[in-house]
Amino acid sequence: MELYEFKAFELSQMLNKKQISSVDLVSSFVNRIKTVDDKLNSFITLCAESALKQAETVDRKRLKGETLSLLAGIPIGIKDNISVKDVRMTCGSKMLENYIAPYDATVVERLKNADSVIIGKMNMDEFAMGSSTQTSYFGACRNPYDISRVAGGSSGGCAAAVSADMIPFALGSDTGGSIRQPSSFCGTVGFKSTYGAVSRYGLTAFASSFDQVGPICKCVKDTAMLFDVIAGCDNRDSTSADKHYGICFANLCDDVRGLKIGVPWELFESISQPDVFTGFKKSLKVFQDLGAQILDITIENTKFALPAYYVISSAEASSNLARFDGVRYGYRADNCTDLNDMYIKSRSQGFGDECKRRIMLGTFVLSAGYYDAYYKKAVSAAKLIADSLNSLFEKVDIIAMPTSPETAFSVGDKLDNPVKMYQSDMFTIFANLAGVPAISVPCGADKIGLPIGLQLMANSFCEQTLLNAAFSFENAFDGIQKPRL
Amino acid sequence: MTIDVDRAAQLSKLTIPDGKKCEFEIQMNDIVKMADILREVGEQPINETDDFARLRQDTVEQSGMTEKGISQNAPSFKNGCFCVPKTVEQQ
Repeated sequence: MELYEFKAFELSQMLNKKQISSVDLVSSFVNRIKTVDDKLNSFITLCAESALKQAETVDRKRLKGETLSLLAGIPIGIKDNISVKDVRMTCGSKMLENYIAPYDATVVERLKNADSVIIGKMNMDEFAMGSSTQTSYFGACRNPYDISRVAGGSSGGCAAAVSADMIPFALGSDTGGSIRQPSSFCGTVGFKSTYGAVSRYGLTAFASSFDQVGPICKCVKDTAMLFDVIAGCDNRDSTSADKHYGICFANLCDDVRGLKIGVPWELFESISQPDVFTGFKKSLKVFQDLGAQILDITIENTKFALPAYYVISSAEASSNLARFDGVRYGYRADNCTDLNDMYIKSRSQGFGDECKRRIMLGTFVLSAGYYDAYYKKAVSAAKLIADSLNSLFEKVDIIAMPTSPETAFSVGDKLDNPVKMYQSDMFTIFANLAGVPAISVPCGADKIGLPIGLQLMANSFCEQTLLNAAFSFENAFDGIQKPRL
Repeated sequence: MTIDVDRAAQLSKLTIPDGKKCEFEIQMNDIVKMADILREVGEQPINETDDFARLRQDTVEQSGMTEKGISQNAPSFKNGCFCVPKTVEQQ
């Protein structure tokens, strides 16, 4: 077995026992990236040289006998909308093609303090707007299970690279499912925590009231290990929650006896692929056999979820992306006659079509005459859905549903039909609208071998319950085949 | 309701090329049509204290960022200032 095939917690043990060095490990992953990433396009920037340097530093610390964290010396990929000081951050856009981040995001600072090794910046939909990583200015990212299919999005580069053993784990961002849906498509574990559990400082804002940074990993143990490092209050993010978690990794518990799992069956009429529904039902059987209790539930007002999400997120995006005007950073057009001309030309040439659509939609729903009809109603709808979920969590511990209504679709599909593309998020947006934690774990494959994801949600700040449920499922489930590249 | 793409683009400081305008109009009106269902939503009282955003002390703190770090990304930077095209029209 090659080093790059191990899970992060196994690598951590091997490093700790000095069976391997961090330099060996990083070299193994760099070689793997150079061998397979031409097929997938999961990296935007590879930091091989600085990663090897950092690995040498960690190895020296270990030889000196310093006490190191579980992540020390293990490489990690960072989605390219998270700031890593002195490294290019493009957000998958021409707008930031040459932008060098002048500071570290809080999550990156915490990784560096834990002696983690940043190996590169991962491909993504432009400014995280998309469900397929096809809107990236740097080209589409492909699915390791079938390179004619998409990796999902917007954190497609992270999920594809973890799935293809190019990195042991990654940090993505999730606004409407951007960690969980690509994880479902690529057979990885994707985790979005409670809104406020992880600092957003240094994450390029898309829709600030939904955005969360989170792990994409090979297994639940690795997910808990990474979450432990990035979670926690941060004064530089005013929405950061003053909540102290225990050590989720050490407290993982493989016991779901008596756990109440609610299933909103009425949602599943919209599943177009029978394999997905079959895979989901088999997962429920696994939980039942483990001693969990399956209960029928109804989430109220679900028909408003998708429009409410797209209205609110686009409104926030139109405001957040107003900062890209060609003045202080980012793309500036040539031959501008005056300041206004510079704004218009720089933004029109720097943004791709999907960004333009969302900025314009957001501007429209916030403009005079439409604010009450769209934005205000969307905020009310989001509150109704959040209230419904909160009251359900008084009766159940977990809500289960498929992560996505389908498995990975073909490259090129849905690009000219945004509404169809948005429907990919129909099951993931609930957790963002309500701010609750959610995880996607592989639960099977369709008839051509593409992974299916199971999504579990829990009440706010019940991350440990959620990780425990996912951990038990993973231990009882046979797993899925790895991609052949 | 329909969306006036030219007006939305103007407010957004964007231009949509003539060759793409029709495609944008169709796609964006499909999105607006999807959002029209929100008219059925009854207005909910939004309690601003539901939002747990915290205010911090209004004190100056070191950010760790340098002028070089900031200016290196500027399209045009001279004498500690960001340079932009003229903002005043000549008579």
